[in-house]
Amino acid sequence: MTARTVSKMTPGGLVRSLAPVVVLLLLLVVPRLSIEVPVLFNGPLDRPGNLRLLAVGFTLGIAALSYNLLFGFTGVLSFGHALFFGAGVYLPAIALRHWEWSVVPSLLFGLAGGTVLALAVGALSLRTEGVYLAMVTLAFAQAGAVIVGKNVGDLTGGEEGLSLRTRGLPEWMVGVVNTDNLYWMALVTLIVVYLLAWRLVTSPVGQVWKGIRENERRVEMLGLRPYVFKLLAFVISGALATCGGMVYLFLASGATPRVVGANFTVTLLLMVIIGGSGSLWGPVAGAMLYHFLDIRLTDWAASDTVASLPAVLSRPLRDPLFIFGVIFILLVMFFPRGIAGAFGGRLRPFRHVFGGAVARPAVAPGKTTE
Amino acid sequence: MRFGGATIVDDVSFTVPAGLFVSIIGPNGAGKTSLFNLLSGLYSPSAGSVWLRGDDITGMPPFARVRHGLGRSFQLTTVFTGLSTLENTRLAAQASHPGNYAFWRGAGHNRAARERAAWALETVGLAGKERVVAGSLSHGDKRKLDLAILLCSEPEVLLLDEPTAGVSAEEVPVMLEVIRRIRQVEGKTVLMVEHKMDVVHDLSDRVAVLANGALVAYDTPAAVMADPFVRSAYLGVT
Repeated sequence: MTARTVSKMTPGGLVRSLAPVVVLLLLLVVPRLSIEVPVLFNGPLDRPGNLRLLAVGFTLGIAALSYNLLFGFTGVLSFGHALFFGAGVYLPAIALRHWEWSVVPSLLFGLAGGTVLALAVGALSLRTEGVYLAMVTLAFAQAGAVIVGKNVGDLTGGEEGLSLRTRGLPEWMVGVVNTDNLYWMALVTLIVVYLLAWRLVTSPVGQVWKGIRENERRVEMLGLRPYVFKLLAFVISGALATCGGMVYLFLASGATPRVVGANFTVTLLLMVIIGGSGSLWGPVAGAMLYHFLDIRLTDWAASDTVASLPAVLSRPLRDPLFIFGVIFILLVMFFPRGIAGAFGGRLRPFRHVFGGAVARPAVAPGKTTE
Repeated sequence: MRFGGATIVDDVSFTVPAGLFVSIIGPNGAGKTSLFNLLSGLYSPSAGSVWLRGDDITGMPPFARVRHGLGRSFQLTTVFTGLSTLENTRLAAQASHPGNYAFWRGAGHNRAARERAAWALETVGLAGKERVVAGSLSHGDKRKLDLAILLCSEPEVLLLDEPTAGVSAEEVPVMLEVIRRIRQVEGKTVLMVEHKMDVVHDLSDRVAVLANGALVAYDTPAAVMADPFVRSAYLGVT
């Protein structure tokens, strides 16, 4: 199979191969697209509110993607992932506000802090497995939430949170008019994180991760120490989540305790499951969908259309969580492998050019040679 | 290799000279698989010690024993079901050809591992099925893959736990041929748990008989078959 792959490409395959490129190009030019998308978006697409909606979705996508490296690719279920996203939000915020550092050192401090935190939490909690690991990581995350909530050392601002100190920031990052810059920053970070994650899961290390997910004992009988590889996955996913948190800080113009709580970890798990844990892009799509519904359903539930319905309908519909719950049940019922599973799993950009895939034997049992 | 003492496996002490093929037989529940778990480090003995290639490995975790030259297949096939057969063997081969954990490169870049993986698949007769997902292989093919994974770790001492169990009658000779090759061409030391007496008789230099967790005989196949105690304890039952 060489150049002829192109002619053998089905129209559906061509769409799947080109769709990621088209979507990416579209997302890149959104801040310059002054078009109305009724129902989905409020006002023209390039309105700061809409850009922020999408950009926050990107940062949550980074968090979900990083969580999936651990959960979907290595098979480690942690309930403490919010801690690292939260570290990315809070540490630079603290450095900027209280110590009046400039942007770059604050961000480096945040990344280093998040990574060290992930190393410490991972090194301890990975001594356990399964439900116990989930409990230990949950305990760490709750400890983090308490520290933030109780305003320890007068650093975090407690329940009030911490607003972003804008004085030390470069001008292009500040103010509603510069939302498009923040949008691009979020999108570029997402792309970089995505490429890094892709490189990792297809590398020798990624192979070991998948082996651990499939059968940890067998990996051990290959002469590899699963603990080391799981810790590596934990630290990398923690560090990437920290990156997502740092971008979130600028979009949200501050830090709120919501981003460290256990609720947020569960939300991440939901995003990954909605999107499909078997793929890299699935959780990003899941996070985008979740955030979009979270925001838009709230608007919609408060709208006149819902209020004018009979009370039997309008009461439950006025609660966005009710609608979201129904949508979630339907998604899990009809797309058990998530959004990515519904679209045929792994994305293969330019597949029509390069060809090649792991053949399912249902199609050609044992006869799939290249 | 010396070994002794645990509650399920008790008073089992024997030495396997390098290059020998030893079969372990015994009725169900005799402790054959438990013995393998002790040898490979999945269980730790309450008393006694395990020696491998002149070193005491009793306190070593499983992965360290593998690095010391021990390899093991499992009774219940344990391949990585979600990966393709090539990925399965390549994962095993890269574990024994480290030095290339460069995560900025693709997993296929490790040439030594790639060649070893292809060789192992060829050896067990899975060539041409490199891209098939392991979970969808037939049971016989899964057992072959299991063996290929083991070959990729390049162990000096192999523990084979019923390699022909559940393999269809026409595939058994293929498996036995592979095992024979490992032993004769590669000169490895092999310990094999097996129920089929003809297989044991053909392949083994020594046969160890376990009953109720104890070693009741350890001799050449012919001598073991002639032993009256073994005939009543094991052969008589079946």
